[in-house]
Amino acid sequence: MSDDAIWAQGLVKRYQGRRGRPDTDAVRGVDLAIPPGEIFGFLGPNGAGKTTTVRMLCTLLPISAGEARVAGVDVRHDPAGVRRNIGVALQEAGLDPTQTGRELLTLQAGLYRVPDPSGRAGQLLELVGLLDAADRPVGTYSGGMKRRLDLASALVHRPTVLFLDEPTTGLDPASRATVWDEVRRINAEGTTVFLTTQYLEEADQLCARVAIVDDGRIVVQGSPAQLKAGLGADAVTLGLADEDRDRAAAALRGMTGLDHVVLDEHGLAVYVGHGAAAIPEIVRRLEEVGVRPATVQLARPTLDDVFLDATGRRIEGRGTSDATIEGAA
Amino acid sequence: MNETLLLARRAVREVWRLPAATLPALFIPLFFLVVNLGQVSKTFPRQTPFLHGQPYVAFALPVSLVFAVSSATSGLAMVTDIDIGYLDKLLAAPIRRTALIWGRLAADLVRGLLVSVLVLAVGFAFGARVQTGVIGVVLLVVLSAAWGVAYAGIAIGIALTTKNVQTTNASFIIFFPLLFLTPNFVPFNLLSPTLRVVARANPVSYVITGERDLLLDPTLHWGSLLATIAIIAGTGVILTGLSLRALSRFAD
Repeated sequence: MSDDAIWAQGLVKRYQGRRGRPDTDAVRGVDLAIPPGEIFGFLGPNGAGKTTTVRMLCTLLPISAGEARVAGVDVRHDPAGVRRNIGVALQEAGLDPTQTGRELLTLQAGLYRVPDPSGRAGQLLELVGLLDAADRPVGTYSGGMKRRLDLASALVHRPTVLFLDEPTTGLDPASRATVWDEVRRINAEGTTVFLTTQYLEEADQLCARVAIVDDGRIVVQGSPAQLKAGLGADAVTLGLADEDRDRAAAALRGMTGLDHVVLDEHGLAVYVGHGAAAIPEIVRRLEEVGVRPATVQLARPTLDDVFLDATGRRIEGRGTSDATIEGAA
Repeated sequence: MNETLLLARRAVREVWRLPAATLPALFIPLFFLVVNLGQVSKTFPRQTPFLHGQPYVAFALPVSLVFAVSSATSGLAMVTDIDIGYLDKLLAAPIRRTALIWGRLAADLVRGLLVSVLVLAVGFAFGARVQTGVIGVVLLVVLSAAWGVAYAGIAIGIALTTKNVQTTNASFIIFFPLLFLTPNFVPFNLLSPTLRVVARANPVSYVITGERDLLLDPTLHWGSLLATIAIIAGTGVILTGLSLRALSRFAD
């Protein structure tokens, strides 16, 4: 516990119900143990409690129950101590549009009592490739430039722990890749990064470990590779009519090489040892019970499959397919 | 440089960079001044006893001064910071959170000094003169700006409590009854008995009458001046206190 960069036990955020409405828990008992130097991903759909958890850890929201320590400092009892050690870049890159990039970073460095704030601002502007735009108002920046400036502003005091809340939401792929490179570079210098995201690929690309969150709870956590390996080697996704799903799932029971089957909103996800070899057998078994899948898709399990397995729902569109057999029957 | 000065510098920079946030607030007070003069200057010539030989514009000018500096601008700047998420960035920094309010009030002071000089200049153009001389001019500018600072807490408090741009914007309406339930057109003794009672209880009345004494009478009225200072200080303590309390409850 004392060595972890971020540690939490039973973290709860409860909002009191108004006008007779019941209380709601946005976060329902989150435990975390993140060692220094790790990039840790908090992956989940909108409304899962990701931002609320980050805001509690960053001292921006009071903790309703549980304990948390960030950089070895107790969040409840020494919020100022936590603030000195963390960098924060929250959702939507909240930056004052009337200041120039240079002014904003100089102010930020001054607030953290960094020696030579304007020198530090210059360094960071160069680092994130914004020197040319340094003296323009932030309001004229593109989305990607704002994110890079936001990242730079979270780094003025060389924090030991960096919180990034959905750092690439709304960015085009090129800007997203730039932000990823930046996060890797920051982490390579020893900064622990706690990152929330709803993008599977982002968690896969960047994070040593991810916690998958749903409805205010961590439903599963581990390294992306471990989590996916736990599902079987391949995922065969079948597009089925609603009324056929249960019958199809029953027909596949006991099949050789089958790891397990999960119902999703469009059909079935079948996790097997060798997908290509299993497809003919799957199709044959379905035919026997009179079910014709509209699509058959073969892919490696993704973190979305991990989420589906844990919650029965998918986070977003399915992962990239290796092979799709349209209208197979 | 400490955090209050840093945040003040940022807020003051906004005053220069966004003149559109300051100048429209000047339009209505000056419009009222001009319209009022057009309507009642002949009714109240210099010989009118309560004018002490001065033109009516000198009597009306404090109303415009107080009106011009009593703005919701800092509240709007605060609610904008909340809206875009910049306030979160500032709250996550290891600073005394009260510096966020002091920084905003510093901008109100600068804006108040600027606006008071402009309104006084317009008053001068219409023939007003300050009978207490240079000291009077300085006092008028400083007292008006100080009132602007004292009053700013109301919109900042509303911004932090409601976190709503429209509500904060609408908060300037609160000032209308405060401004018009005063001896703004005529002195206390010419008001109807009911209005006189209300005006006597309204703190804004004493800011207007204190400033009016500086304009109309060459003798410095210490009693009236001290009452004005006390009202401004009291209003500042109460409204700034409320905004500080709203900030401490902001995250809950």
